[in-house]
Amino acid sequence: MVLELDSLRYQHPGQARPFIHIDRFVLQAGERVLLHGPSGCGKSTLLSLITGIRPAQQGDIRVAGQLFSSLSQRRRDAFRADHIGVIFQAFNLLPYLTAVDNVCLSAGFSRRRCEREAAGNNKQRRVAAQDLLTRLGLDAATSALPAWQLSFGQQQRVAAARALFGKPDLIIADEPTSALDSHSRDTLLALLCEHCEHAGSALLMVSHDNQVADHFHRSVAFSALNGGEHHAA
Amino acid sequence: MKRFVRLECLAGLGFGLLMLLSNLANAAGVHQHGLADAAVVVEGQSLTVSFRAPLMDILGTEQPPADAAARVRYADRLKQVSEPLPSPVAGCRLSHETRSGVAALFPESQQHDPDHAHHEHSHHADVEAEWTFQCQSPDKLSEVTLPFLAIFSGLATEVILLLPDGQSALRLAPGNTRIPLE
Amino acid sequence: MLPRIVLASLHTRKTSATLIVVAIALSLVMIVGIERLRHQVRANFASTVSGIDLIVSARGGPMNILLYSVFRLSDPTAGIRWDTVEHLADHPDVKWWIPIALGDSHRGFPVVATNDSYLAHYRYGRDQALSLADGQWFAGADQVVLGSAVAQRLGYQLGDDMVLAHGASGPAIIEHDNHPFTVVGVLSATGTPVDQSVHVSLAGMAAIHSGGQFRSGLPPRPGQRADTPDSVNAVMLGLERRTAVLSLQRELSRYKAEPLSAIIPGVQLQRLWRMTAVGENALRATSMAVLLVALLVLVSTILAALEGRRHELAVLRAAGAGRLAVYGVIVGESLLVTVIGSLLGLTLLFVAQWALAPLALAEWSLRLPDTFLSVRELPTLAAILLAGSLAGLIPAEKAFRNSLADGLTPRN
Repeated sequence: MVLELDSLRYQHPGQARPFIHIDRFVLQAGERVLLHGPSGCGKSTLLSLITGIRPAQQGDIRVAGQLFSSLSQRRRDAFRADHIGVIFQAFNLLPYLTAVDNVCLSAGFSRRRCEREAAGNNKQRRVAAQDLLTRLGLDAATSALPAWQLSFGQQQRVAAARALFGKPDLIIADEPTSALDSHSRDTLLALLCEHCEHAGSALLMVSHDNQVADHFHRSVAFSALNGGEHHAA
Repeated sequence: MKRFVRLECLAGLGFGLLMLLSNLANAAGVHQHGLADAAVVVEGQSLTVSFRAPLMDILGTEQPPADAAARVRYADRLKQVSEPLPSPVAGCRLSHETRSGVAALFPESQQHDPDHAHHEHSHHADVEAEWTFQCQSPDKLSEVTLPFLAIFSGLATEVILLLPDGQSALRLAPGNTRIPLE
Repeated sequence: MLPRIVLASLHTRKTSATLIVVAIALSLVMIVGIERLRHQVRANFASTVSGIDLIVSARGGPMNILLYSVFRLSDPTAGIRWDTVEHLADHPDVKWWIPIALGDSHRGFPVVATNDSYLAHYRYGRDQALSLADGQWFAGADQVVLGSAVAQRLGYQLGDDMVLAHGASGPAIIEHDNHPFTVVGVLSATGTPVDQSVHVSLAGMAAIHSGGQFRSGLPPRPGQRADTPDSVNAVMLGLERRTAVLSLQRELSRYKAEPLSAIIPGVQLQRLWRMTAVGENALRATSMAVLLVALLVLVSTILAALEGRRHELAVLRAAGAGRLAVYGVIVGESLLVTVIGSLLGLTLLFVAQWALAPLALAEWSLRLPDTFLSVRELPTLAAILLAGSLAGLIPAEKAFRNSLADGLTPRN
């Protein structure tokens, strides 16, 4: 199991009723799961707990067998660098760095990911990054541009490359296609799923749109998962 | 408004007077209580350290010793102005020492003359001492310590340095015993 | 990875970064510049008196004697009689003696009356003797030797005539056009008040004061040498032994024939610095306040920019950046700005030193430093860099807290 949630409870500071209330959720290695639900229902909050950016208040989160709650913030950050890739809906990249640099970002924080790409030094890292970008449809010339000069579709692909780089155990995607048109959306998802399969990474994607469920092994409604009170935006 | 001006004038006058007095004091060699003078002179292989302090600050009194016991007490006190310590690495050996003794400071006290009950005492005599050392490596002299300054802890010392490198001066705060020779 | 992020990130905020860099540069110019100037002025003053053991003058304040007789500043001192000078000359402890008479000026430059001893025995800096760049020392009563700055500023050359006025500085009240002096020598630059002085013989000054009558040609008064004035302002002494300095000083203060003061110039100079220390400290405090302002601007600028950088930080955090990495990005920026500012400041100072050096030497006989950075200044530089780094700590912590609060995705 690459992800295991048990009796997870989380409430926003200053609020009494739990925002997140999940009894059990499991993700197998290499499995792709879509979590769908309307905006503001807590999907992003759940993701910030799973990635370890926010500490959970109650319950267990296990990523790749590691219990998050027993780790300090610093260790969770390091663990995330090693095992988890993240894709946002937008603003995925550091605009002043090139696409290649952006892909190398997570590798910059994790030696393990460098090793899994067989990239011992900086040069090799960049070559591997460029390779991945090419496979996602970005040529070398484009990859050398600062990220702010890329189109939104291209930026999302760079984001996917960064998340995939180093073959992490788990990739978390927070509505990565919501701002794309349907054609680009399908293309991106196809590429993402293909590479996840290839790398052996599990994928947990959150979206308000259930139409993309075809790309996934299973689709879970967030409202079914989250037993606690939640607030719509 | 008038009061302000007057205060300022007074302050200015006072300050001016203070500067004038301190200048005059320096010029004529008048001593001030609480302030001692020292000099460190290095020439060739010899190091000369001299020290001068008001009687009051060393003995605590300017009165001549009343009896033999008092004279002994005074002498002991004067002995506390002990030998300075130059940097050991310079290899200095004391070759000459002069010091004010009780007799020199209070010449009248030697004469037990009851008729001279109210004659002039040299109230403002100073305790003086001078030590001369011969040093093997005077260039290695980096400091001279006057350990007795720790005993006379209320005394600030104006130090004059006449060294091969040049002339200099510094002021030792009360209790500070170390004179650095740049 | 981190340096690249810091550099690229800073580049996007070029304008505000440049302004802060300039602010830090200016504060560094102040801090280091003031220290250097202070050091240089002290060195210059010390160099001027380094070869003199004692200065003897009429009884008066030692500071005044020092400032007037050596630096031609402050109030004139009373004169001492020539027979006292002879007593000093004949004293067994005295190796050499230089008489100095002041009081006149030429177009703002002080006239110094002295004798051959001045050229032969005056030493400055590291035991450096005076040397003539051109011509020779005065021999006759109507001859003048100029300091280097005087010759340069007023454009005099050998053979030129000069008119010397009675009285000091400003336009002459009485001029003696019918008895001009002739320039026979120009001294090399020394970086001391010698450069600003017009040197004449004692007979020459006597001539100025006696209405322009040169004594040469007249028989000397009985018991008096040919070129002796009635009085001089000061006598500079070089002694046989250093150990005689204090004893001679004391002896002269008790001299019965005339009230005298003998000062030890190096000692007096130190006491002068003790008096100016208050002013110097005020200057130092001011320059540090300027740095503090620059750093506060740095902190507030970074803080203000944090709002717009929330997504940037979210990306970094998602990629696995912990607290230390976030600190690295933010503090790295403030440190980089401080480093660039410091280098710019040092460069500005270096250029200013180089550009102003000739002017400083000519106007104030001040030799400006010519270093970019000296070992002595390293702790100051390190402290400034440290302060710059610390300035980044507050925004860094805030940035990290922000990212924790934002969770995965910042919501505007």
